[in-house]
Amino acid sequence: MFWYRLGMADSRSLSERLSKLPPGRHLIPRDFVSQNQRERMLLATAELVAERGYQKTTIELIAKTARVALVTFYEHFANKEECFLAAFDESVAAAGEVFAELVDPEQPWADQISTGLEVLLEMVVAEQPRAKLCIVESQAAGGKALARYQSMLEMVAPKLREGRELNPRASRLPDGLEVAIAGGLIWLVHQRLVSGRVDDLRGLLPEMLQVTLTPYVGEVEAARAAEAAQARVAA
Amino acid sequence: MSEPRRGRDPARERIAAATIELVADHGLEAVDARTICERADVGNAHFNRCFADLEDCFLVIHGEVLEELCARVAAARAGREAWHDGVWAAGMAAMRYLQEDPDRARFLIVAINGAGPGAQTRRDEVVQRIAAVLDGGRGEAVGERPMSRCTAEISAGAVYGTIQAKTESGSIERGEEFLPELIYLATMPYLGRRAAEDELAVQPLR
Repeated sequence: MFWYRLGMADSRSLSERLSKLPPGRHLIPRDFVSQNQRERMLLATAELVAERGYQKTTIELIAKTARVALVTFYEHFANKEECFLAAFDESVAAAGEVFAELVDPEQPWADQISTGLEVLLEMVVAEQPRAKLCIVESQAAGGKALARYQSMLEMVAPKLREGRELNPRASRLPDGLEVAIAGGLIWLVHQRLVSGRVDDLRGLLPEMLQVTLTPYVGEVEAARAAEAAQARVAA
Repeated sequence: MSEPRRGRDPARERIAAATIELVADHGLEAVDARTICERADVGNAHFNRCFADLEDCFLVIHGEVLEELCARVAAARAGREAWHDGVWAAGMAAMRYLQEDPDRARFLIVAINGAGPGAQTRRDEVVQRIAAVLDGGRGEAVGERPMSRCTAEISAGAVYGTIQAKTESGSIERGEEFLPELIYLATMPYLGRRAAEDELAVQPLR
């Protein structure tokens, strides 16, 4: 499991992750306290939004769950939307670091895509609240959040686009192909998150890989890669 | 809950037209029942007789527009035995419907985002309906690897996302021009790379 191998998933309980620093006067630097409060609020936002949806999540609930005062919330964020967007940005940045760490750019392109998809699925399973925030609730949280969601899909496009070098008729391919494929893959994950069927998510890898690779390497090569992924998943 | 429709109600039709226009232009979050009533030139009491609240109004009218689109698509697909022909017919009917009235297309495809949990569920249902049509491609698939409905869901997500992007950018008025791109996305997992690329060269209306 890539995600755990990297030690990124936090094994502490939610209560531990949300626990306050000791109250009263202490020698902990002010910046550290502020950063800790911010992290707790972002974590609480992800947990609440995943559980209740964006619309039913309130600033009061975020503050209460993060164990901070309301005034502290407003020291960090102007409103709920700003807090949500910060949680989105932080989650996407963290995922980006994991991809950069685990997807070796020296590998053949198809292997990079296979590894990338596997990492994505493992991250979704390991960090479901954050995944739900980025993939499901970002589409329900207003125009700015929706723009962030679109940007997230566009971030994937350059890596997929490298595959065009493997297709001799690549000049025929539509400009929006890569964003469309990314959107289709994320849609499948979205459906699993909404219905709560995430335990078997890793089993989707072969089929996701086959659809992703076919426009570039053709269906025969794509099937070969999917078979290899199937064997890895089964193992 | 809104009352079921009984016969023609011109005031309700004006509410529907005003809702589509206002929500398409400003998004549901920037619209209220009073503004709709003013635009439709009806009293609030009539609005309240027709709909429980603004969200109900949006979802009911959205549902009616969606059913109209689905009826057009179903009529276009009727009698098409081959899956591939049916996908082309469905795509053509859908694009014609959307480009006919860009406001209505924005209402149907773009405004649904951020319009509450009921709207999200509705949008998910739309994509699942597309997936149900595309899933028929398994019977014509060229590869030997077995496929599940997941492939159709990926394709449907790609097709819907493309339509949404085109609608949002204002290019839905030329919907038929990018129909081959949609057919490519819909058929590529089943027919393979080469056959799908050939779809991109088809100019259906020339």
